[in-house]
Amino acid sequence: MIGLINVRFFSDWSAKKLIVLFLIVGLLIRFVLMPFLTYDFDIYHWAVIIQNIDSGNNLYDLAGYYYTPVWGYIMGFISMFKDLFLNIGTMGMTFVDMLPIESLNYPYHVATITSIGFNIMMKFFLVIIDVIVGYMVYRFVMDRTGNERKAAVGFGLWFLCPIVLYMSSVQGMFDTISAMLLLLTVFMLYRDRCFFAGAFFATAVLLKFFPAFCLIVLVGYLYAKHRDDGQFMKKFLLAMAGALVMLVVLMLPQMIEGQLYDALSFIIGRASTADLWKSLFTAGGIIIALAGMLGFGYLMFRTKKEDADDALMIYVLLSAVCAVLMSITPQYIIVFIPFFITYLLSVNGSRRLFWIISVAAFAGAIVLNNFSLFCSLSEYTSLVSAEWAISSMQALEGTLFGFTYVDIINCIANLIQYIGTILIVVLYFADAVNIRWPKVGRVLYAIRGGERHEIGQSD
Amino acid sequence: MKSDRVIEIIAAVVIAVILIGEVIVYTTDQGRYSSGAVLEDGTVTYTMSSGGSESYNVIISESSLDTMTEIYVYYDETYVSDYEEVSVPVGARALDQEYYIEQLVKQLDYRTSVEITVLDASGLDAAMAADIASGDMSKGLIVISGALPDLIYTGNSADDIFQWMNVGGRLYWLGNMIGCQYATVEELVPVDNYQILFFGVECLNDGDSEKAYDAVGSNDLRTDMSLSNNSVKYAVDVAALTAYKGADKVLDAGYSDGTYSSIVMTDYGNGMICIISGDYSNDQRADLSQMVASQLAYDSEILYEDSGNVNRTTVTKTADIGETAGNVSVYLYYGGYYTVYGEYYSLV
Repeated sequence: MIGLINVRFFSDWSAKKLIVLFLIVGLLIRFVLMPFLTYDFDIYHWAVIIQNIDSGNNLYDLAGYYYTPVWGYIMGFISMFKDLFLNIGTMGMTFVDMLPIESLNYPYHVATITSIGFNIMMKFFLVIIDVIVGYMVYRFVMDRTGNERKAAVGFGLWFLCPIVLYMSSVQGMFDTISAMLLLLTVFMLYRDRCFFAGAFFATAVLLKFFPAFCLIVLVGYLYAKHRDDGQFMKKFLLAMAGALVMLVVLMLPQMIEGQLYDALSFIIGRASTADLWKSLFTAGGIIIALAGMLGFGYLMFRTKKEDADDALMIYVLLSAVCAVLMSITPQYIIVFIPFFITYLLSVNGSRRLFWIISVAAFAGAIVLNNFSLFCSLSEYTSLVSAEWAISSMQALEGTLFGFTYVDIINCIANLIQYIGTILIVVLYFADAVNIRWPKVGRVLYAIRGGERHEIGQSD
Repeated sequence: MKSDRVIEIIAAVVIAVILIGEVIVYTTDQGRYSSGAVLEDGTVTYTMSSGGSESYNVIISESSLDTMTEIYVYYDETYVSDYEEVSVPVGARALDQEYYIEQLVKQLDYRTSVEITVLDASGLDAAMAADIASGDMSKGLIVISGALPDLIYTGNSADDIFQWMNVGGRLYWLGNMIGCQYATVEELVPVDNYQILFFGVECLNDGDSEKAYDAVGSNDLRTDMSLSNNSVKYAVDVAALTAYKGADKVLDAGYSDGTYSSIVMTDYGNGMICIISGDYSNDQRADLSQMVASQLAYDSEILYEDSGNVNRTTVTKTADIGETAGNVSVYLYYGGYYTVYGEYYSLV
């Protein structure tokens, strides 16, 4: 793995060779994982959603789809692809020997296990997204540094990142699409295509909500770039128009069907919970996210035109980091990973924190799902038995001080992920800390590594 | 950036995929599926057609009960009801009676051509009275409220609900102990000996057993019908009921904990009672839809079963079932446990 293995080992290799190497290794890992390991719960719901679409119902007519509509539309496309070109047959079955899985302490399991063919189909699309995002990271690093070798390393860091690998080829979660849409938004802004930037931003927000917290930074970028030429309002209105057009196009069906509440219920549901601690945590997270949005938005507004491009990358990263602090869920960090990689390679920063966060997220995800990953394999092949998978899961539900082993390990992994994510923001302020508390500053510099990279700000 | 064109193409493809997907989601209908079945000289010829890639199941059965042409669904928000609140995933709507029925109607709609009518208490009372008067044996009733309204049930064997089943009505019950209480607009009124009234014997699960971890062993209906709900809360003790009524009057399906089965059907007069166990769940509703759409009854004999795939083509097959004495019917559906289409054919 790059970063862990010394890249100087490949010092004779050209950037192109490195990319091919990372691509082949990344694809091989994915193609091995895709059929063998699958988390049952999420992908079961993807099958339910395709069932609902195929039965002539829309995304919100029947239970199963609880997100804003964009992921559902993508599944509509996948469903079409399946019907046109594939012979998947059954998407899944309920197995008697899997029934105990529904009685485990961790409730997010189902005994209806999707077929290996269906799993591969769903993951295949996500692997394509992985490649696309990897390419975009390559282009972004190239653009920021002009160094093709660094760009190749950027591709590798993304494509071989454990949590990215896991979410696309094991869990089948779509957070990589969220990252891609946010990257496309930033790309369009860099190219001054404000209408399309607005359109992609709206699409990103309607896929998963986190990119919404980058709004003020994005507007601030337009202001920083165009405050001198008097074009800001025109560009802003163009971006607004793009966002509005996309918003209407994507949400029109729900407006017509009277299903707007259903379409937004996941966001509302996340924000309102009966559990006091969860409520406090969620409220605290929302405050951090809003503070990040406003604070970094403000800094972006104050940025000089010549620094705006660098600043956009950093402030989008920091706003997204603050946004995902709302919830400790491994896959959520994926939305900021491409920006984190680009930033690290731009300033020659240490990759230690990147690996700590991504490995902790990966560890949290794999511990939580543990032996359930073998469910499809056990039911559709004879490589492992369902009994073994279930009994192994039950063994992990043994308790220590009233907490299951899974809870304890997952909690530790989450804590590392969370602290690491907070550190990204803290490290940005290392210079300010260093002035007041030099000892603390030195520690932060040691963690951050690389060059000092301050964003010039206008008065 | 030097190579913008590639990213521009990516951007265009991404938007195209999303918009095409949106069109697919909102234009896909049942028109791409079709089927047919005919009986001639002891041979059933069935045809299945799909514009996509689907698995299929076919069940040919024989029963003494008439074909159901209309199914009532009881829902009256002015009457007291009694069902357990169930937890739902983040973002999901609360699974209350109204939402359950809303979804049930949609799920039945793509599985059957049988007319579905949602009735309030007075509407149900009137419909039942008309059925009883005409001796109509082709109606069914789904009750998920946990208590029948006092207009048709007060814990008396002469109540309309019993007369209606006597002439041939099929009662599908879920979500509570059948008949343990009746509802008024103000309260729930407990009923004594309710199990005797409905079954003639005490046989309902009123204990702690809530989940079954084995399949019903006496038949393959669990897989033939793609049944998923393994709850046995409020379920029927199959052995106790069979001992009282006889094996020819009881049919169970789905999952069993050794005593109770997740689905049990038994006779009542010329009609029947079907208990789908457990509190509200999506699996339970899917099983209910399958049982209603297939019109399987307590005395159904499975004559033939087939499964396979139908991929963008039409498949025609035959099944030799020989001479039959009862009403022969075919239920075929696509998608298996993820059912996307179903149709019922009465081949009398």
